[in-house]
Amino acid sequence: METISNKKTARNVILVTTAMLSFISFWRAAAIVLCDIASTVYYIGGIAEHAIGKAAPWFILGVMLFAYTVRAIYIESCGMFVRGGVYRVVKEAMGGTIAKLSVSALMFDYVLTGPISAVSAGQYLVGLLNTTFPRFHISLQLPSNLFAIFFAIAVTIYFWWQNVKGIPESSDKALKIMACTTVMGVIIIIWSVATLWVRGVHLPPFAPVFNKESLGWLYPLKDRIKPLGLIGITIAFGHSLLAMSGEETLAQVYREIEAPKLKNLKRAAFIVFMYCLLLTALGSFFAIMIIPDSVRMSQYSDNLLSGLTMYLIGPEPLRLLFQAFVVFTGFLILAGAVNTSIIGSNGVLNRLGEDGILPEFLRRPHPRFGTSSRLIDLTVILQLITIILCQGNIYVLGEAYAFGVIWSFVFKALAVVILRYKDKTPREWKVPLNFHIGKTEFPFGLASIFAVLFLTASLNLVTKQVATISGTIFTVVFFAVFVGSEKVHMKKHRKESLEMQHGGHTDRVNLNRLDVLNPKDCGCTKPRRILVAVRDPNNLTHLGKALSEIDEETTDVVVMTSKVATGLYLEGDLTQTTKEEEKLFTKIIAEAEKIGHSVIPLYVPSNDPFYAMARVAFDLEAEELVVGRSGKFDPEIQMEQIALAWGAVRPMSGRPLRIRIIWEGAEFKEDVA
Amino acid sequence: MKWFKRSDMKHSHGGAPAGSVKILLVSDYLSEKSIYFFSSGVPKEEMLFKLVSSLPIPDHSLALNAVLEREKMGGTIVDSAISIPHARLKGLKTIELSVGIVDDPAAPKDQARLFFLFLSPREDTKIHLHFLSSLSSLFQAEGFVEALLSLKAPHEVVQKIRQIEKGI
Repeated sequence: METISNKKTARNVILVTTAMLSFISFWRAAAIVLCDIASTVYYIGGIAEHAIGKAAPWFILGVMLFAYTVRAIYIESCGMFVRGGVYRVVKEAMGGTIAKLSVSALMFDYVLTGPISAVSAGQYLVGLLNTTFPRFHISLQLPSNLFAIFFAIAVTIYFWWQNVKGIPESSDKALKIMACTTVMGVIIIIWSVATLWVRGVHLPPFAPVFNKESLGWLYPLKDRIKPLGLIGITIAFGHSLLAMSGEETLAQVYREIEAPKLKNLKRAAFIVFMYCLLLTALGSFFAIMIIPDSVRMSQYSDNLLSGLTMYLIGPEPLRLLFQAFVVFTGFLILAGAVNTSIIGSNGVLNRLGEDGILPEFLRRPHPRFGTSSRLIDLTVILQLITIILCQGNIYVLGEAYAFGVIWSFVFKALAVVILRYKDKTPREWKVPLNFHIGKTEFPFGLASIFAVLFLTASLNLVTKQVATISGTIFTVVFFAVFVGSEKVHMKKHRKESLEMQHGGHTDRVNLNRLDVLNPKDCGCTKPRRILVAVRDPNNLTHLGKALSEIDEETTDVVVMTSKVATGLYLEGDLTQTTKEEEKLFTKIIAEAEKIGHSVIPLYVPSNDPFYAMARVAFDLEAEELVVGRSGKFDPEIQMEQIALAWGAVRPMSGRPLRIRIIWEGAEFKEDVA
Repeated sequence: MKWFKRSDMKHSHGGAPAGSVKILLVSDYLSEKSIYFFSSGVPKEEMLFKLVSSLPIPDHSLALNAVLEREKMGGTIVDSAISIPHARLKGLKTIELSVGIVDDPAAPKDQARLFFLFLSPREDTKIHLHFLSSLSSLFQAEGFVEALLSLKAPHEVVQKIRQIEKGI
């Protein structure tokens, strides 16, 4: 409960509740999702065949078809919560403890997505090099696994640095990668069909063949398990399930999808479905039908698509050239998946941080780039350890990976089922097949999806030993860290509340919510106003300079900070201030008090900082926009970005805005119409 | 940057500006001779070369290099369909603009199909920023992209942009 003295020390900050977002089309959303989910085509075939034999493509096809129903769950939950990821939905349905457990499993998924993608890319590259060297009379054969390890480490470190710097996730890049993958997919399909036309079609057998590894702890019961019985089919299905990893990305891009949102989400989901069906499922069939049994698993289990290219009809140089293209595309999409895994886990960890279930020190922003670099470090360190531990073995990684994938789906599906009863508000869209008896609704479709997921996950627990052991340890450790740090946080929070009553250092922030921004409601009373944009509490030089120059009698100073979140980072709750933001506001107010001017603090959620600055400057009729120097852009480019943003928001008749970029000892100033 | 869809947000009308100013009109810098229609599949570099070559400037190669260098630092994209390659060159007297339209109705909605390439005087930052702002403002017109992409002749492009700017 808030005390009177708390209220006295709390600062009023205006929160613009209508997030200043710009939006992406369903094509871009689909491309972002596909960069994660479609990358599995490069390794799923080898992993599944290793576990269940030549029947693998049938089960991959089954998983791809089933993935559409899982997507339906995401569509329903996104309609309910704009940030409809696993954590939010599970927390709403089953409370914080189960949510922490589900998000621990999801973290296991993210931590393994990076290594499996990076190692797979390395295996493809080394495969190409080892195939090419003899053609050029080079008697060098690189050790595949060792090469893949070093390559994976290099790729992971590269993306670690990109994320620490805060290079924005780009849907443009995702689109280009998907364009390249589409070209590759079309060529593979046409060329494979031509090859099968010439050589004849021999479909793979439907019955899976299990071995000691694929039955795990059920191996002693091997004679009782019928390959085509319910248990046998479910086990085989479980071994192919990681083909649909990456669905969570769909929920995380939802916030950015342009209107009509749900319709566009459905479109994106359908594109993802068709793409995966054609590329992943067909690719697996072609590999089994075209690559001879004698070499497929012995030589190409880790780079099945490369193997496929080498057994297509046509001249060898052309096939080799196509293999190079396949490897190049694989490098792009798999590297993209590494990046997505870092971004995704960082987004989820940030979300947890906002709820106070991560240690405070992990959430401190990078002093120069302002990113949550410690969370990124944590994810990348775990990924690097995984790469080294797996020794370049894709199968081991794939086995473990499935744990996080399936259990996060199970929690999500269960949560959506529970919410059908717990939250009766009308849904924008529901998973079909709902029956009514009286007033009670029975979500048959939803329950069936959950049942399939739960049965598969349960059987995976006893068949996938590597996954169960590593996944359980990881999940339990993460869960314990989350629970422990939540307790510490709550204790600290109580202590800080007490300290604040006795004049503590961080001001509490009262958010006065404002739907539509205008000068009057913001508290502007003077004829002129300037807008100062700040982000880093350690870089308020520009604020200091602006405050020291204004005439307080005639000018209001609005100081805005924009909570910028794009793509996967939009998982976070944008309308809550974090501890860091409270510190920022405290410093802003302290700076203003030091100079002797009052300021109006403003907090604006957005996914584009330049747009947000321009929009606020326009809405508040500011004459001047003052910003600090960007850590990412040259001041000239920074100025261009603001000018473009200003052009997008200002009235066509033109209205001048003075833009000032101020940093230590320098200033770049220009008027823009 | 992708702030084209601004209709999704609630905002105030901004009220009276602090002071009106004459904005630059894009059409004032546009010549029919500098408008090209490209068929699908033409590489971006080739398009940029063609667009730069159409401008009345002394050193096309220098200009192209400057544009490509600027693109390397990050393309200027307003909405997914519009790209604004640009550079600032010493000695230019004014803005030089050329427009490229990719005539490929089958292209994905997100692929850049409108290229507004411009060069501005290195010595005049103001005009450079004003022009960027004017371009960005022009693109906010409802149906602008679709309208431009449906045109078939340079004079129609000039006419369309004039028409939009007259409505300003």
